[in-house]
Amino acid sequence: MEYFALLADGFLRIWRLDVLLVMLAAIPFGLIFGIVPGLSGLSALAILLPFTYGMEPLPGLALLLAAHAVVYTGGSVTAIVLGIPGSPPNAATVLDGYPMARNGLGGRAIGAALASSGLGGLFGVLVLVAVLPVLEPIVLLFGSPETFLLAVMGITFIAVVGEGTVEKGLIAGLLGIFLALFGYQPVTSVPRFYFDSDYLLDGFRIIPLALGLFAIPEIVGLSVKGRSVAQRGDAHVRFSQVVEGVVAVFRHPLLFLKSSAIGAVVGVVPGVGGETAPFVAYAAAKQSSRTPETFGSGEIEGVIAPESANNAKEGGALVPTLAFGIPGSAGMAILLGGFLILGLEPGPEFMREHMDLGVGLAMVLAFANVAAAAVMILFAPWIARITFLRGHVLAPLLLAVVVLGTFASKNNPMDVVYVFVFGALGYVMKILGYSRAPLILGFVLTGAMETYLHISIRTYGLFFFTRPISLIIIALLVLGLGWPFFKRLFARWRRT
Amino acid sequence: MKFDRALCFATVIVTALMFNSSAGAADAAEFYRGKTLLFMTPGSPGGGYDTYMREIIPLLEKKTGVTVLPVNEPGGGHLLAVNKTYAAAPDGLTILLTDGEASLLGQLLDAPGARYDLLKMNWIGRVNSEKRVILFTKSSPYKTIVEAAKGSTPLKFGTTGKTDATNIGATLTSHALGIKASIVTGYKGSREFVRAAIQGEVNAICLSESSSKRFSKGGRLTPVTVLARERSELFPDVATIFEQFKLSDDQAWYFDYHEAFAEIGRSIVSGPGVPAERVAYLRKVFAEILNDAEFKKHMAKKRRPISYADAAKLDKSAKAVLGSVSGARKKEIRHIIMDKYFQ
Amino acid sequence: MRRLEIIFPALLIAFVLLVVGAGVFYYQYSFTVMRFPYVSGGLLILLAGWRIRNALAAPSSPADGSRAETESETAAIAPPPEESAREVLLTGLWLLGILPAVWIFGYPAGIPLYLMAYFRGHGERWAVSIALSLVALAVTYFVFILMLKVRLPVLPLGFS
Repeated sequence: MEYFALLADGFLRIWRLDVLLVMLAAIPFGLIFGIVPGLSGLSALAILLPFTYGMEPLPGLALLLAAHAVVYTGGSVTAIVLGIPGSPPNAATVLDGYPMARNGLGGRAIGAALASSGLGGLFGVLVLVAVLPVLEPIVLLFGSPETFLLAVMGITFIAVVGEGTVEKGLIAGLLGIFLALFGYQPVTSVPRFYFDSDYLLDGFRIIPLALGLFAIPEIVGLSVKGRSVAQRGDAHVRFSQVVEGVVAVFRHPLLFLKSSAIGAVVGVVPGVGGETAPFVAYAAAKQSSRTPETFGSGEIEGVIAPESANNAKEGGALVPTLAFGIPGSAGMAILLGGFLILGLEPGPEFMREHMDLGVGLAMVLAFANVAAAAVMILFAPWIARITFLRGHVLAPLLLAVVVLGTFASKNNPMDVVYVFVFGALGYVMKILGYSRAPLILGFVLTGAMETYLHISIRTYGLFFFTRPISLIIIALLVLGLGWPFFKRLFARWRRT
Repeated sequence: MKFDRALCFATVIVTALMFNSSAGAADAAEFYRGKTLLFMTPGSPGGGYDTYMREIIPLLEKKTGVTVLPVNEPGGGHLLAVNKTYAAAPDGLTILLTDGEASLLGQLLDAPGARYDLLKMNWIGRVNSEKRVILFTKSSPYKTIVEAAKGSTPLKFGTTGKTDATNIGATLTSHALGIKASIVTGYKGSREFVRAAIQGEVNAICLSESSSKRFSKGGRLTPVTVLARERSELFPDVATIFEQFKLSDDQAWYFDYHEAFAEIGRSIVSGPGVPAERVAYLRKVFAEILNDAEFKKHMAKKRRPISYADAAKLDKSAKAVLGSVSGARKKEIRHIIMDKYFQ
Repeated sequence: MRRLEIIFPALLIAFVLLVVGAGVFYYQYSFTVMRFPYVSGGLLILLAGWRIRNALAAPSSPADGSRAETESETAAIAPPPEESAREVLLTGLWLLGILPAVWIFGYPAGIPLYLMAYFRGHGERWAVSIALSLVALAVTYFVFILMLKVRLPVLPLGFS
C-alpha cells in the first residue's frame, strides 16, 4: 500500500514546469537522432550529458532519459520509409516494414510501429514499477553464466531472423560473429587482428556496419532507376491509413505482450546488450506465426514485434542501472554517468533512500514514450510521402545524411570510408539473397558471448551451466528452437 | 674592432633572448586566446575521467580564453587516446587527461597498438592519484590478507583487463606475497565486479581508495589492506601492506614499484615537440586551477578529489617506472602481470 | 549472377583464411584469443564451401532457386536483371564521388557541390538543384557544425 502511495507521489512529481519543459526539449531531440541514420541514442546522450552539470537530479535525468527513450521510436520510421535502420536495433524493423512501404502501405506500417513503440515503452515501465521494490534479488539472479547463455539464445536466432534460406542466414550470422572478433579482446587485452591500424584497435563499429549494409544498397537501388521507394499506392497518404496501423497493434494483443515481455527481460540482463531484443522478438513472432513464410514480404506482425520489444527494453534496462549501477544497455551506461554527475550513486543503498526518484524516472519514461509516439503519429502521413519522392532526388540527399551522420557518430573520417566498404558487401548480399539482419545480430552479441563464456569457465568451471537459472534458460532455448518440431509432434498426437 | 663587433652581436643576442623569454609567456597567453583546444580523455562520457575533464573545462576556458572541445576517446585499452595525442600537431592545442597506469604499462610491455613514448611527451600536471586498496568479499575464504598469504585455497580476483590498474595491483601483490591467486578478467567496470563479488563469482578486488570507499559502504566488501607506505586518509583504520607484513627488500620493491605506477594517476599531458613557452603556460594555468581551494572543495564534495603534482614530479615517476628497470625485470613484470595468474 | 553466387562465398573463405592465418602464423595468438575465430571461421568456411558446391550443382538458368529466393527477399528496389552490371558500376562511381568531394572541398562546401553535380548530372532542373544544395549547406553548417559541434573538416584537403 505504501508503495502505491509512493507511485502516486512519483506520478505527481513529474508535473513540474521544469521537468516538463526539459522533456519537451528532449523528446524532439531524441526523435531526430533516431530518424537520422548514423546519429544514435548514444550520440544524443553524449551531447546532452554536459548540459546536466548543475541541474537538479530529476530534471537532469529526465533530460537524458526522455531523449534516449524515444530514439528507437524515431528510428523505426526511417527503417520503414527508407529501409535504413535509423539506429542499429531498428534493423529488425526493416525486414517487414520496408516491404510494406514498397507496397505503398508505408502509412500503415508507421502507424503500427509508432503505436507498438509507445505501448511497448509503457509495458517496460510497468515491468520496472513492478520490480522496483525487489530490484536487487532480480538482478542477482543473473550472473555471468546466465548472461552468456542469454547471448547464446540470441545467437541461435540468426537462422530464423530474416529471409532467404537458412543456409544463407547462417553464413551471414557467422560473418557477423567473425567481424565482431576484430579489435581489443577484453579478457586478454590483445588487440586481435588489428593489422597495425589505429582504427581496428577497437574493431569494426556498428554504425558504419549497419549503415553500409542497409543504406548503401538502397541508395544504389534508388539511384540506378531513379524511381521512388513506393512502387504502388497513392502519394497522398491519408491519416486513416496511419490509424489502421495503430489499430492493428490492438488486433494482435498476444503478439504485443509477448514481444514487450521479451524486450523487458533482455533489457534487465546487463551485458547481453539491449540491441538484441528486437531481433529475438521478431524471430519469436515468426516462429509462432501460422504463416511464417509470409514474414519478410511486408507482414505487419513483423513490425509490431521488434518495435514493441525495442522500447520495452529501456524500462527493463533501468532495473540493473538503478539496482547496481550496472547499465543494462549501452545508452544506460551514459545515463549512469548522468547520475554520477548529479552526485547520485545508484546501488542498493540508493534505492532505499531515493525510491521516489526511481518512481519519478519510470514516469518520465512513460510520458516520453507516449508523447513521442503521439507526436510522430500526427506527422506520419507527411513522413510516409517521402516514399513517393523521386529516386534521383532522394538518393544523393540520403547519401549526404548518411555520410554526415556516420562522421558525427565518432568524429572519425575512416568510418565514412567503411560505410562504403560495408556498402559493397551489403549490395552483394542483397542481390544474392543473403539476409543482412542476422549479420547485425551476430555482430552485436559476440562480445558478450565471448567475455562471459570466459568469465563463466574461470569462475564456475566447465559445468557452469548447471546453475538453476542457467538450466531454465537452456530449457527455453531448446523449446524455442524446437518449437516447429514440437508443434508438428503435438498435431500428430492430437490426430491419433 | 673585431672584439667590439662580437661583443655588440652578443649583447644583441642576449637581450633578444631575455626579451623573448619574458615575452614568451605573454606570447603563449596571446596564442591560446580565441583558439580551439582539443581536450582528450580515454574515459567514456559520464565516467571518472570525463567528470574531471568536464569540471576543469569551464575554468580553463575562463582563464585562457580558449574554446575547449572535449573528446572522449575510449578503447584500445585506453591507449588510443595516448596514440592520438602523441601524433597530434605539436602546436600545444591537443592535451590529454591520461590513464597513468594503462599508458605506462602499454609502453613498458611494448604492447601492440601502443605508439607513443611517454618520456618524450610533456607533462602538464597531475589532477588526481589514488592509493590502491584490496577488498575481500563475504564469500572469500580468508578474512585478512595475512591469512590469504598463508592459505592454500586460491583467491579469485576480479579485474577489468590485463593492462588495467585493477589487475596490476592484484598481480603484483599476489606475486610479492606468494598468494595463490586466480584472476578473472573481462568485467566491464568496477561496478560489474562488485556485482560479481556479491554473487560470489570472485572474492577479491583491487580498487582505488575513492571507489573502495563507495563500494564498501554496505558492508559486503571489506577493505583488508592499502598498497602504499602510508595509510589512506579515507581508511585511517586499515593497515598498509608494510604494517601487516615484514617485507624483504625484494618484496618491498614490488610494492614501491606499484606505488610509482599509481603516482602518475590521472595526469594532463601534451604531445612531444610543443614549443616550450606554451608548455610552460599550460603548466602555470593548470597549477592555478588545480590548486584553487574552492575548486578542490567542490570536487571533494563530488567524491572526485584533486591531488595536484607538478610536471617535474610526474617526469620523475615516469622515469622511475620506465627507465629504471632492466630487461630481465621487464620480462619478469610482463610475466607476472600478463601470464602468471591466468593459467 | 551465377558466377557471383560462387565468387562471394569463395571470397568469404579467402577472407577468413587470411585473417585466421595472420592470427596463427604472424601474431601467434594464444588459444584463448583464437578460440572464437577458429569456431566461427571454421563454420563459416564449411557453410560457404557447401554453398559453392550447391551453386555449382544447380542448373545454370537464371530462373533457378537462387533467383526465387532473391524475389521473396527484401525484394531489391529494382530486381537484379533490370540493373545491368554497367549501370550499377556507374551508379557506384557516382556515389563514391562524395568522398573526394568532401575531402577536396571540406564538408560544408563539398556536400552541396556534390549534390549540385549529382542533380545536374541526372537531369534535375537548376532551380531544384540549387535549392536542395543550399538546404544541404544550411543543415551541414548550422545543425552539424554549430549545434552538434561535430568536428567536420571545414577546409579543403582534410584541414579543419
